[in-house]
Amino acid sequence: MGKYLSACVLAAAMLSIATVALAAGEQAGAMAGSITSQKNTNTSTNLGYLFAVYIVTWAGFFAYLFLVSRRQKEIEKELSRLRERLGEESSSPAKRT
Amino acid sequence: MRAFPARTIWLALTAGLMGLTLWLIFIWVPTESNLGEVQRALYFHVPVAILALGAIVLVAIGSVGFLITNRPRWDWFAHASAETGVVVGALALITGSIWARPIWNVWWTWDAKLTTTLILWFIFIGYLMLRAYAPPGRQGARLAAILGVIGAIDAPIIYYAADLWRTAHPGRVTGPGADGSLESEMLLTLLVSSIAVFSAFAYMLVERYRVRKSEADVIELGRRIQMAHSEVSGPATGALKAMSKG
Repeated sequence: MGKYLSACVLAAAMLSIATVALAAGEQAGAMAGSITSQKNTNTSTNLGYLFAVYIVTWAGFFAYLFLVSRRQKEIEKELSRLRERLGEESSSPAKRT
Repeated sequence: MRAFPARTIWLALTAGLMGLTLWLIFIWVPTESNLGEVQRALYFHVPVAILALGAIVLVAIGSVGFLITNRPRWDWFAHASAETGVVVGALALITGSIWARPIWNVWWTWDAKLTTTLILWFIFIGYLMLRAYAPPGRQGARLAAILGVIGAIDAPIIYYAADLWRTAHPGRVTGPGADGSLESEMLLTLLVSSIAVFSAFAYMLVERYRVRKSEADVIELGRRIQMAHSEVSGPATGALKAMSKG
């Protein structure tokens, strides 16, 4: 589970960088050919906000998933430890007699 | 060859769908003429905001189910929904705040829609705090269930906030009573983005439910071990232990 999650996070990070870089490249191209510089400067600044929205959403989802899957692993360990202990308790000589 | 579990396939599909969403949002969909590039935040912000509302409805459903049937699985479901609700609620508030900065020139304003959403987030936090500090067992679960049902009253207030009060927040773009102002390409992108985010939310909810169920299993096993231990050691051993402590 953990390695699949790591792979997804890595893929998401790489995809995000590539996509935003591509979008920023298109913006830069549009800016170079434009006469009105004021509007394009604002658009470029807004791209930063857009990037922040996107990063926050993804980071939020994956951070929470990571925490939940880690907690699940810990509980599964605890469960197997308790099951072993229960087996020992029920098979002890005092119990049998 | 080892077969992939269904949850791994689900996670991979969600990731793939999110990749498609990225392409649609950043490359395919046209830029909105008035708001510019930052309007593309809509495709993240709207689905998480809908999910925040959906989460409190799920909490209420789980709570009502628990109050009627007294079965713990309804309580686990409500608890898992509340925790995932905190996550999507926080994301809705943060992404909305980041979007507001370039458009309204402020990070936060006490607008009706924003304020009622913040109240919703505090309801989720209150629910979880109640779970953490209330007496363990059914009594705590019942108190939380009552809070969950009362908290759901906030959902329609948020949904109709733009109609009830004068608000700077844009009107609804989807759902009942929406103004339907989105272009077809924008609507399609929002649809795909919503499916991706809903799928991720459902995955988180299922995972959190499993954790909650496992926690209940741990408590149950601990109780059985204690019982087995007391049977093995017997009352005399217990008395000896008490004496040795004294």
